[in-house]
Amino acid sequence: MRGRTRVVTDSRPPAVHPPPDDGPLLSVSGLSREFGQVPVIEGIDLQVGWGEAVAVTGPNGSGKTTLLRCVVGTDRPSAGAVELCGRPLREHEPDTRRRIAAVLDDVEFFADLSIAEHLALLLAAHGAAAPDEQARALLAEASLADAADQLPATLSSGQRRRLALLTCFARPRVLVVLDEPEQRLDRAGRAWLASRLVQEKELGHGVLIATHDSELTKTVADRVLELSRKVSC
Amino acid sequence: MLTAGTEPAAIGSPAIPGRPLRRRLRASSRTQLPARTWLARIYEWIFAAAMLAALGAGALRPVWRYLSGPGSAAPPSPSRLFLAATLLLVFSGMIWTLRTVGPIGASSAIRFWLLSAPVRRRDLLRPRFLVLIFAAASVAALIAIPIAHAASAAALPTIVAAIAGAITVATASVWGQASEAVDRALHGIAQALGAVSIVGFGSLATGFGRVAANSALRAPPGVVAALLAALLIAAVACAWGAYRALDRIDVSVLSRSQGLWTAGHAAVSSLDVFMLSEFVTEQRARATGRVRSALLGPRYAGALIRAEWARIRRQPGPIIGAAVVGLVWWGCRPVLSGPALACLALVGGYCVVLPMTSTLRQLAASPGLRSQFAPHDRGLAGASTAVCVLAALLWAASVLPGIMPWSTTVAVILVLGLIAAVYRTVTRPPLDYSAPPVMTPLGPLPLELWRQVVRGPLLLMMLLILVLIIAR
Repeated sequence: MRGRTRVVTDSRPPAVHPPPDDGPLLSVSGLSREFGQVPVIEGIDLQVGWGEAVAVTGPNGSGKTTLLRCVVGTDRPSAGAVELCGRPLREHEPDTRRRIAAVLDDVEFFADLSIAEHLALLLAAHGAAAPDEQARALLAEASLADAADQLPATLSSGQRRRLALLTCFARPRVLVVLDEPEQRLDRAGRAWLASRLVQEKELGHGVLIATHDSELTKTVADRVLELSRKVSC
Repeated sequence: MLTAGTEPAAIGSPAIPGRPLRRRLRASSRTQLPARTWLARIYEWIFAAAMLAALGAGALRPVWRYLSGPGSAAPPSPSRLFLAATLLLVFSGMIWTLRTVGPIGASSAIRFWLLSAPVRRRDLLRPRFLVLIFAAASVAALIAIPIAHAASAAALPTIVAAIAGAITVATASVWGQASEAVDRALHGIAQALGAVSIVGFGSLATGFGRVAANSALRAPPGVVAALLAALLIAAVACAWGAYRALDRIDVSVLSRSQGLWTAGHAAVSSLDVFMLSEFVTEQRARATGRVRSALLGPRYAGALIRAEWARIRRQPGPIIGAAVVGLVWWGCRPVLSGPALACLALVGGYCVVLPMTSTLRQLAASPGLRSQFAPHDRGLAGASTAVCVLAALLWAASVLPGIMPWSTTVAVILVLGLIAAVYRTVTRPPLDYSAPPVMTPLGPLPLELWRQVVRGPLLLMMLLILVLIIAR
């Protein structure tokens, strides 16, 4: 299965073809996470297919971020299993890290590099053929072309958010995991994000987002997992 | 609802004196603790301070004797040029630091609740002003003692000159907070003092004009006394001017330094100097704003080199700092003994190399940044480590000709130890606040804090002890 998964580098990559056995891209079963005596999530079952988007919704404190952290491997679940492309997810494996593009927290950038340089370095790291040109194109797509030569510290919080999302779309991926990506984005930014996520689905990538934005959920999500005290899907 | 006696001051009425407010603040903070607890705390602090002072004095005396002993370098010789150059460098550094930090700041609570009211600002800021003067004088005295000893100069006039100069500098910096003209003048003075000091150290390092400068600085006692009197008058005049200017300091100026104080406080409490350096880097980046982006090219290795070069080109401060520290080290060579020189080379190298490792530090501290580059973040970390090693090697290469003749072992320790200490410090993972605390005489401390000490600074201390023993 690993050999048949195409990992792409371009900002507009070719479509990903799912493996012939048509198994889910991401499979989560019986996932639980406790902080001491406090259960945050209990017995979550979730599947994300190739070219499918799943939105995780729920009130504050329902465990959306914790679920996403367990999915990308930055947190270890108390019980349950996470499989990516049919194999148990191990965060330390380069192949796993190559396939998942995630923005969960505030993403940091190199303080002394302009945002164009930062993106170009990222693209060069992932083997892009023309990183400088692709970085400019990506910035233009996210309406950041005018800020290309600015240092990250001078960006507004909304611009930082766009740049963080761009780092996700600039790198190889088959699964995009975003935690409340609509935060701090203006109306145009939310429209751009929605169209980008729809495009991700068209490319065959899986999308898993935690969100409070019903409009984004309606536009992008094929299924909704609502977290509350009683978990239901 | 306002009751009698609580009506706000009418528009146009004179400023409200701040002294009663300050007294009230003090009283309210005192009443939060029972008197017995308060006294017990004071006793604990005095006891701890006395113990530390006694231990420090006891530990430092043999080290000082050891450092002053005969080394393999040239024997100590009286050097007025060294004394003057070092004092000028200290004053220049003080001005630079105070202008960056902002000598007087105000917490957000004071800013929001008190400084926004028509309260006389001087009354509120006076305690901070006095603390600043006291701190400047104490630090200057502590620095002046070893300088006078190293230069074989009379201790008392040196200490008096250092204290008077430090008070002048500190109070003039406060004055500069209220007046842009004074601030600009201070900037020029700092540059001039720094330049003269560097010329002095250059003369000491190369020997060019050293004898002439030393004899020119041999002033008769009357001139020295007049110079000291002038310095004291300048200190009093600046203190008076700054005190009067306290009323004119804007709240924007007082709040500017608050972020730095907060970052500094966090850095000290978590023993992580990078918390402060990250804040400074961000402030510097904001001041720079826009840059001319470099083309990085398609090859990863080439892109990494070009990115590092772009970073160095934009922020040459660490390189300039390294050159100055190197010059100062060579300037100290004719005056200081072998062990002291070796320690200075190690500590100087640590301070010089650390700011050049920002990429490696950011990668080590930020999982988000690593995940962007995953799985190629290891290549990036490797390249950043190479920068760190290269910087350490360059520093070692610049001082080794001065060390090699009298100790090859020290030279080896300097190279390998410096790389190890810097690498361990830079790659410390971020502080985990959820780690279990350990009970200590100072109260519960998170276990993670020990790791912050062990990884890097402790290694540096062990290396210093080793170098002291070998360089003897």
